[in-house]
Amino acid sequence: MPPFPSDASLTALTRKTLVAPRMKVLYTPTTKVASTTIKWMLAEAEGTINQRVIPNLMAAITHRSQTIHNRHVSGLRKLSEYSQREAREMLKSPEWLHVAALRDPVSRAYSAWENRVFMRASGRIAGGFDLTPDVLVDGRIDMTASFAVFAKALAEHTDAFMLDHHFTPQSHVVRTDAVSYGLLVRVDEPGGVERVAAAFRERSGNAVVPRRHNESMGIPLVRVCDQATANCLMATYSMDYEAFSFVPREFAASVDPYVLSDAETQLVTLVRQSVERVGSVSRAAQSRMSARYGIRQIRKTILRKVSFGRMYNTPRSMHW
Amino acid sequence: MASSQDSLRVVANLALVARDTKVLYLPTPKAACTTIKLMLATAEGSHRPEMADRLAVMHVSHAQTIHHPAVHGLSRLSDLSASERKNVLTSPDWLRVASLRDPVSRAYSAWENRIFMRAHRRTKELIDLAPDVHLDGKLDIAASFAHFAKALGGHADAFMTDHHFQPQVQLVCPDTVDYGRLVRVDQPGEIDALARLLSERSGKEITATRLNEGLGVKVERVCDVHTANRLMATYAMDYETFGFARRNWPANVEPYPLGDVEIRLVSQYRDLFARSISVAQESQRRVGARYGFGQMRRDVWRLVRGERGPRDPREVQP
Repeated sequence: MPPFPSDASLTALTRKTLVAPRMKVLYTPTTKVASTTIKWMLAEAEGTINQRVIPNLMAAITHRSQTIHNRHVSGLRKLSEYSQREAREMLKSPEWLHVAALRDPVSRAYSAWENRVFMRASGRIAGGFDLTPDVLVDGRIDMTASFAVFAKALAEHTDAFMLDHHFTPQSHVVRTDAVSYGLLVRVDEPGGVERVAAAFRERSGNAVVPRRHNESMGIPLVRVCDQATANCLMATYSMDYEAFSFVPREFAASVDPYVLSDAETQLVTLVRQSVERVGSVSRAAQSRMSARYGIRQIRKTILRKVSFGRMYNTPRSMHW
Repeated sequence: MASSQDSLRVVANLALVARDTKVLYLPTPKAACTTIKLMLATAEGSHRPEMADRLAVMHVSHAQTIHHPAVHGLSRLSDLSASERKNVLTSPDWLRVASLRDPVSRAYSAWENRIFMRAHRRTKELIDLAPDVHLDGKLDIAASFAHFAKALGGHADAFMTDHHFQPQVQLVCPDTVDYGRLVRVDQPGEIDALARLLSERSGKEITATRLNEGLGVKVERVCDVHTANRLMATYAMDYETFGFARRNWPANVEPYPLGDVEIRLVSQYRDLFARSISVAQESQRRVGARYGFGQMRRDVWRLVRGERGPRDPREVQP
């Protein structure tokens, strides 16, 4: 089976690619491959970043740094928003630098699991989290066993996970079969992200530097992943190994269970509860963006006026 | 000391009324008020959990949405007519309830929730007064709590603007309300006894649910006698009024430094809360006729352009 998807149309190739026209840079972001860091650098170097709009965003973004993925913050347009002729020119022209990044598939899968499954960041996994329950030891979460359960579920129910692009293979995004990348870096190798920063600095004249956003729990992969789990993930992402010649890493035959403390387990629960509420608040906020809500606001304003301020006289009653 | 008129105003604004069950409840923050509100709303049949998903207001968890009137569905005493209010406050048919908790435990719970976890948008000034304390580069809970107790004593007025830090006597107003039951939530069986009482009055089976939204750190582990003495002095009027026993505290407690994973998780929680407050505030800003016309114009424009799909949240116009 070929490692790349059969669809090599311009639409498929340009769907995710971002354009920095001043620097003449194209960037195809891959989730969980330093895409937040690289997007910040790209927008800063291009001069399109607009942090003033961050407080106006109503999407369920769980961390301020993640707001860079909103186009109003990054100010970057997608390649698919350009005409086909323009897009082809950018892809072929030697003046344009096309940047993409890659990461060891097992590390990436761990990062995606921790963020999307374990910490419940909003995602699109079919069936929710039923496929990937926590493994508990005396009420505390065993990270090692929970990650192993995920790896197995990913292998057995791959389609359910592939709706969420954090789990899709990198070869579905970085299309070296059809696109010529001027700069393809490995972010998990020393200097990988720095090479991207250097290219942006050179093209923009701006002194951009990569920033670590530190949003993970900080537990090293080797503490929670044994060889059996790694083998399972390597099989799931075999197309990435074939496409990009990743070297299969060696892991310990068995690792001691990494069991969270009571306080850590409780904190994880609290974070998950808050993530759930943020999603709910975000959906409720966005439902207040429609003609129907607009009509209700006009009606409330009129009623407040004709009742001389007796009705709908608080911000809460107006909003509700 | 507050006048009786002031106390009455406080009671009217804070007290919740379950008309059918004939219960008046004066919630005391950090004294099982989430649990009791849930029990009362369930007994009254006014609980509407489905409304939680329509609230563009940040609460730290789904359980905490019970504090929103749309979810608990109970009336406020101030919403009643004067004669109804008088009846509620004096009639022997009505059960008047409030809850109490050991002041030091309550202060720890309030600090952990409002200051340490940053779980409220109005506490920025308080956080500046009682910042995290690091020992050997690690965030230390015991030292941070001790620092808070000092700040609370030194800047009581600033903290008392948040009713989580107010003395219970100012919230419960025992001189104004003739309580049928003052529930000591930290004493075994007290909440269950209230649940039985509500079951009897409502004819429904009411059980107390432990919500467990703290860090799980015992106050005895992080509070030494100096810190406890400071807090007992700040809340002296609670000890006088309600006869709380002055507990014994250790002369010293070991530092309680958070591990790296714990620090990252606390940081994530704080960031998350800050983001969600931003979302809620932005939503609440979008009111009024002008905004309403804007939304109508936008939807008409979408219709004209033939855009029928749901809006992508990432593409929401700032």
